[in-house]
Amino acid sequence: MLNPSKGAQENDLAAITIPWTRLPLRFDAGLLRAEVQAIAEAAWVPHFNQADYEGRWSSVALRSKSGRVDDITAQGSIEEFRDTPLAAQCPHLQAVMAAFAFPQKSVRLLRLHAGSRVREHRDADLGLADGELRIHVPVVTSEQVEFVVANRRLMLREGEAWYIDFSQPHRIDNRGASDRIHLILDGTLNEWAAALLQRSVEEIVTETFEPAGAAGFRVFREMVFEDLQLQEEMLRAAERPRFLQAVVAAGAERGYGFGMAEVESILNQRRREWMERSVGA
Amino acid sequence: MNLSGWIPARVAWRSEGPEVEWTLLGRQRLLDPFYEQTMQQQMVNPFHQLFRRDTSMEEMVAWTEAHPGAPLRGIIFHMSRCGSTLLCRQLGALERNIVASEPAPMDAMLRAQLHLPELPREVQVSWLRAMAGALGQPRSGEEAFYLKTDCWHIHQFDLLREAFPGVPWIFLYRDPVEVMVSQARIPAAWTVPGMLHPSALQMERSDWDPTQTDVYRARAIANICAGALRAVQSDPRGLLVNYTELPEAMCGRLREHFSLCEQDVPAMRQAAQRDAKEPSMTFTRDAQAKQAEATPRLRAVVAEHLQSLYERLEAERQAQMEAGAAVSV
Repeated sequence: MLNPSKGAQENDLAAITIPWTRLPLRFDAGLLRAEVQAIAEAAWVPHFNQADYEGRWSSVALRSKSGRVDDITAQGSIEEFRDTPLAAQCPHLQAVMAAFAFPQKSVRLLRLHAGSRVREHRDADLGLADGELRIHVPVVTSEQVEFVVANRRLMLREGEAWYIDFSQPHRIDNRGASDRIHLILDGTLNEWAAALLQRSVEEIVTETFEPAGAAGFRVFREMVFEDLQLQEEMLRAAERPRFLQAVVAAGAERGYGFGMAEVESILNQRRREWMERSVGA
Repeated sequence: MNLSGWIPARVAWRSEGPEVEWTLLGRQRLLDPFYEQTMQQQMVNPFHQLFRRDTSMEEMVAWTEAHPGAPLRGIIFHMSRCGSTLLCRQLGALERNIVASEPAPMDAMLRAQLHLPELPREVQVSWLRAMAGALGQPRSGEEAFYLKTDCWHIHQFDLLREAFPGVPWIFLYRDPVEVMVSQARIPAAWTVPGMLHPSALQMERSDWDPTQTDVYRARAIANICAGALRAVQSDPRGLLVNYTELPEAMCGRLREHFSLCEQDVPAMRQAAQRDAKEPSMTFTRDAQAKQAEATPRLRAVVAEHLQSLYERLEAERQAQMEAGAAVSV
């Protein structure tokens, strides 16, 4: 009623919203890993988005705007992108690329080094609504990698393929002893991709888990509700950084097993829920 | 569970059922012109974001049954922009009073059907009582609770009556030209089609022409006035009050109606000295300024949709004042 143009978009591909789904595609992780391990260490370039991570994060491109291996920017229009020489050296990774029949932009390997983490953030410009999609194919990973989207832990396993809406808050913490490497394909949504997503949502039940520390924090919260003195203490730390430190310290002191990352995402989520609450609808 | 010091900040409609989110208000009194402002100020402190506390409706009902809160001594209905904030300020000037002004969690209870169409009436009534009990918890020794509803809640009059039988109520209104001028200056969100579900205003989707927001607004306010006329005819416990009677009405005609005494008058008079929505400014009558600002178009819209209802309200009020003695029960 308010927006008469909206009805015309109803059958549009852009109308789909999916938070995440595993895709009905599976690749041989052993073959992919062998190719990735053959890539010269010198080829890997540190990721540009240094504000968002702690530790080391590096990347190589199989497809980029300049056609260069060290060009790891994802932005650009579709006709600018072409394969890099690395793609030709990696036939199995190329086969993965070929398995996705949508127009591809940047295709990169992203390596999150052991002990590194990507802080919670959102990528607003990557949504299906803008006709864009990003696919993850884990090549090397472990149970110690915590991949959290909208406060749910997703278990991305080697050789699988995933679609995730990264406009949602997400963080990655590699607590393992080995580097985590994903193949990440960016492209534009077409009929084929839309059908694939549709089928995935209908056929695949994507399990999600509670992030480590979330359960501990829940118990901690209940404890806080009963502890007037602790409430007073934390109320006094009225500004955000001091408050977060006070919460993490209070939890650690009492052995509740959660860290800054969990508290930050829960706080962000609660804040978002408050801001987005509907009053009159 | 000990919810002492906690107050409902909002109701979230989850797939598993409604959830009340409580915030720790401690001993603070509700002194802001609107309940929502108090909640907003709470949420500036990250403690209140991270440590809002969720309960089910059943838990709220159980808690308030064990801790009934201050008794509800008055309900204030109004047509919007007609001095209700001033009136609440006068009530709040008395330290023994709790005044909740347009609390969103109460609106959620009153319009629960939007989310739960099959909700049995007796359950909704129990939720309303529980919400009043939760909002009306004494935080610094208060003894009485007053609720100012959102203007569209006159349409929920029967439900409120059933939940709170015998509680005195008023409907406050004002010359519709002045109300419409105020709404034209700074339109309330609910007067914008689509911002509030039209069912709350007893409007139909086909009821408005999107190019004529003033007509939509006038019709919504007309429905509110018509609702008030029906309410006052069905229940003699209600008083009609015109803005022109403020602020003195609280010290005269409304004093006994709202269980106040002679000693309360000075504090209420003093509270009226200040502008209710801008505490730094003094309260001034602005009827003349608003009348002068009314365009011919606005007057025409008022004449078509509101004037006769206003006159009927005035006639009813006159009758009530003439029967004055009967009101002081």
